Amino acid sequence: MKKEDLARSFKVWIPRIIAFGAIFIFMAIMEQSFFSTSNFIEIIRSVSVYGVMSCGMLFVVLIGGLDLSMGAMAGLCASIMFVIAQNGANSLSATLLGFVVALAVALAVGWLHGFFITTLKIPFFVVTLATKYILYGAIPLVTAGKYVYVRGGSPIDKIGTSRIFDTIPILVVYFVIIALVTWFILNKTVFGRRIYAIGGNPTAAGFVGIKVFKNTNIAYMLCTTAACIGGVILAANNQQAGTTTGNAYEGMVLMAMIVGGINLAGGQGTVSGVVFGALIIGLIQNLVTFMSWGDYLKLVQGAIILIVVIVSVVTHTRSMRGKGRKGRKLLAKVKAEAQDE
Amino acid sequence: MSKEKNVIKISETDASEPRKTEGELLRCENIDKLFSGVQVLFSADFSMNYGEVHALMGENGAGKSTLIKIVTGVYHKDGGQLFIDGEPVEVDSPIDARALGIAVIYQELSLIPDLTVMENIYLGQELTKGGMRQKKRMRGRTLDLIKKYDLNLNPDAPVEVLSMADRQMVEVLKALSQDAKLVIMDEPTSSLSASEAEHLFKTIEGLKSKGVGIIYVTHRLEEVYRIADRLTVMRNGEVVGTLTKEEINPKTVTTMMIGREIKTERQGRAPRNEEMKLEVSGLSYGDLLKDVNFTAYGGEILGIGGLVGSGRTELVHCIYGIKKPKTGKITLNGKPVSRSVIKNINDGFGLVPEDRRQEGFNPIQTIEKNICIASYDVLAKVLGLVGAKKERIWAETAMEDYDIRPRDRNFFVENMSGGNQQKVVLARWLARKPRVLILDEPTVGVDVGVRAELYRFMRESAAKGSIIIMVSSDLFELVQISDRILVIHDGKFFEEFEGDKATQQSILLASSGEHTEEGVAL
Repeated sequence: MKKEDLARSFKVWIPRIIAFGAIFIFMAIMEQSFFSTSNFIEIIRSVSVYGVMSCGMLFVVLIGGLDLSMGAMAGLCASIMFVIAQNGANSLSATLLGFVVALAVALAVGWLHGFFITTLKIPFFVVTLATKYILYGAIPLVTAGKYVYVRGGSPIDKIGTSRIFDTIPILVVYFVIIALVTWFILNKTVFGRRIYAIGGNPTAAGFVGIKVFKNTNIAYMLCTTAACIGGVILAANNQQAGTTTGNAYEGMVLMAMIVGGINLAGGQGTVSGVVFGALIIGLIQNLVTFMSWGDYLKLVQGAIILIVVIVSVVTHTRSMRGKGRKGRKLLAKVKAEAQDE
Repeated sequence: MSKEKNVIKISETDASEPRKTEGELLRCENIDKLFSGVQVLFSADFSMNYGEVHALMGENGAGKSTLIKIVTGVYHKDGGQLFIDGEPVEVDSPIDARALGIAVIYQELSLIPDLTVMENIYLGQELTKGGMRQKKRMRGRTLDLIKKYDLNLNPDAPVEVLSMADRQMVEVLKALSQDAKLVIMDEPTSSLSASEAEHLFKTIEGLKSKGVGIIYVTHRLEEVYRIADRLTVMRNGEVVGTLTKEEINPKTVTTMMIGREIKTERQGRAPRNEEMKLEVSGLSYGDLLKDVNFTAYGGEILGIGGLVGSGRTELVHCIYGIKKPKTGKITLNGKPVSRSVIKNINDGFGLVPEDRRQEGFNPIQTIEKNICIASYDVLAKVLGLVGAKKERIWAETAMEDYDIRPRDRNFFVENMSGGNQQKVVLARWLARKPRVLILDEPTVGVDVGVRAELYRFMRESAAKGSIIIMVSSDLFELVQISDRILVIHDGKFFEEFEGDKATQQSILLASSGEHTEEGVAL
C-alpha cells in the first residue's frame, strides 16, 4: 500500500519537475543574468506572494467558487495596516493593532461573501466582482489618496525585508508556513474532508449531514485571510501600500490554480499543485520581465500561460475520457472488474 | 426522401381545407424492436382513431416509451409497419413525424421561459417578410388557435409567469399550430397539482371534440377512468390487450399489467424487536402528505409502496431530517428524532437516497473518502483531526465486508459500475451499524447479481436488530423482500400488507386507491 502511494505521487510530480526544469533551463540559456542572487530573490519574492494567496483561493475553488476580489482585498488590508502603524509612530503595538484590524476587515468581507453566495444565492462571480470594485474604491479612502511608506527599521519593514542567513527573503518562510497550515487543514481535519465533499457534490454532502452553507462561509473567510496576509507581506516587502498593491493579483492566482491542476469546478486539487502553480507563474513572470519585451510583456505572458493551461487541461480530459495511455488503463481496469462480477 | 416532406407548414387557421375528424388515425402492426440483439418489443399492435383518448399503461420497462419513440421517429423499428389514415408511412426522424402531424409533449417541457406564449409557439418557424418578423400576423393566428380550442391563455404573457398546467397548454398549442392531429402525452400530470390536472383534462376533452387523437401514457389508473376512451396495456415488450371504456376496471387492468405472479421462496424473517421502534404520528408535508402514522420495528424490513410522486421520498426525507415536516411527531424508542441530519446520523440514522448520482456519492472522490464521509464522529474524535490509518482500516473493512469492486480504496467512484456505486453508498451506513437505515429505490440501475447482495446486506442488518425502511417502485422487490408493506395513497397510508400475503397486484391496486382482500385498510 505504501509503495502504491509513493508511485502515485511520483506520477504527479515527475511531469511537474520536468515542466519546471524546462522553463528553468530555457531561461538560463536565454539570459546570463538569470543566475544572479538578486534575480533569485526576485523570483522567490513573487512566488511567495502568489503562493500565500493561492493557498487561500484553494479553499474557495475546492468548494466550487472563486474570489475575484483577492487583489483588492490584499491592497485594502495592507493600506489599513500601514495607515494604523504610521499613525502609531510605527511602534510594535500599533503595527500589531493595524494587522488585527486589517484581518478583522478581511474576515468580515469573507463572511459577507459567503452570506451573499449561500443564503441569498447570488452567483459567486457577481458577488466577488462587485466587492472587488468596492474594496478597490475603499483603498484611497483609507490612505487619503496617497501612498503610505514605511521607513527602514520599523516593524513593518522587518516583516517584509528581513533575510535568513542574510540572503533568503523572509517572505518564503511565510509561504512555507501558510502552505503547511493549508495542507494540514485540508488533509488532516474533518473540515478539509468536508470541503472536498461539498466541492464534489454539494447535494450529496447535504445528505450526509454536512452543513454546506456554514463550511462555504468558512472557506471564503479563509480566502480573505490569505488575501490579507499576502497583501501585508507584499506591501511590507515593497515598503509601500496604496491603490496598486496587489492590483490584479487574483488573475495570476487563478492561473496558478489552473497550472497546478486544481479543478475549477470544485472538489479536486492539492496544496502541492498550488505550490507548483505558484512556482511556474512566478518563473514565467520573471522570464517575461527579463526578456525586456517591454510592450509585449502582457501579451507574451498571456500566451505562455494559455499554452500551459491548454496542455494541462487537454491531458487531464483525455485521461478522463478513456483516451491516452492512462485513460486506456483505467478503462481496462473497470472492464476487468465488471467481468469479475 | 424529398425535401418537401420535411417542411413544416403552419395552418392558415385551417378554414380552407376541412380536416379529417373521423375514422382510423394511426395503426401500428407487428412492431419489433431490438436493442443490441435484445428484443424489447415483440410484434406490438396498436391502433387509434380521430377524436379518441387512448391510454397506454404498463410497468417500467414494459415497452411504452419504446413504442412511442418508434411512432415519433426517435427510434427505428426492426419490423412491422405504421399506417396513418390507412396509408403505410415511414417515420425515420422526428421531422418526419412532425410533417405527418404527430406531436409529443414531453415531461420536461421544451419552452423558453423568457419568451412569450406567441414567441414560443412560433419559435424556429417565425412568419417573416423580407427578414422581418410579422408580429401582428403571428399574434392573430395565435389568438385564432386559442379561440378555436377554447383555451385560457394570453399570447403576450411570458411563459415563466405561467403555471405548469398552462405551460403544458402552450406545448399543446405549439403542436396544434403545426397541424398536429395526433398528440402524445407522456405522464403529463406528474408535475401538476390536482386542480391543474383537472384543467388539463378539460383541455384534452376540448381537443378530442375537435377531432385530435391523443395517446396518453400514465401510471395512474384514476386518470384512465377520467379521460380515456380505450386503454392498451403493455407488459415485457408485448401488447397484452386493449380495453374499451366499459371494460376498464382495476382488477382486470392490474392483472394484465402484472401477468402471472411468480413467487419464489422468501428469506426467513428475523423476529421483530419490539424494544427498537420508530414511531411517526400525524406527519404532514406540503400538500403531498396529509396524515401519516406508522411504527417501524427493529429486525424487520418495512417496505413502502405507492406511485411515483405520491410523497414516499418526502416522507423518508422528513424522518431523516433533510426536509422539515409541517406537523407531526417522530420518535425513536420514545425519544423525539432531531430535525438536524448530522445529529440523526450520529444517533444511528442512515439514508441511501433515491438519485444515487445526484444525492448519493461524490463522483470525484475515492471509495475510501466516500465511505468515511459520514463517520468522522468515530474517525476523528479528537479536535476534528482525522486519523489516516483509522480511515484506511475503516474503508478496507467495509470494502471487504460488502464486496466492493475494484478493491482499491483510491479508486474514483465515478468510474465504478452502478451496482458498486450503490454498494459504496450502502457500505457508508452499514459500516456504522445503523439503528435506522432508510433505502429509497435501492436497486434502480443495479444488475441482478449485485441486487441479491444488496438484499442480503439489508437482511443481515435487520437480523442484527436495525430498523430497515425500503421505499420501492419495483413491485417484485417490494413483495419479495419486505416483511411488512405500507402503501401510500392520497397523502396517507392506505393499506398495510403482511409480507407473505402481499401480491404485486394487490400493491398496485392499493397504490391506485382500491382496497384489496390481501391487505388491511388503514
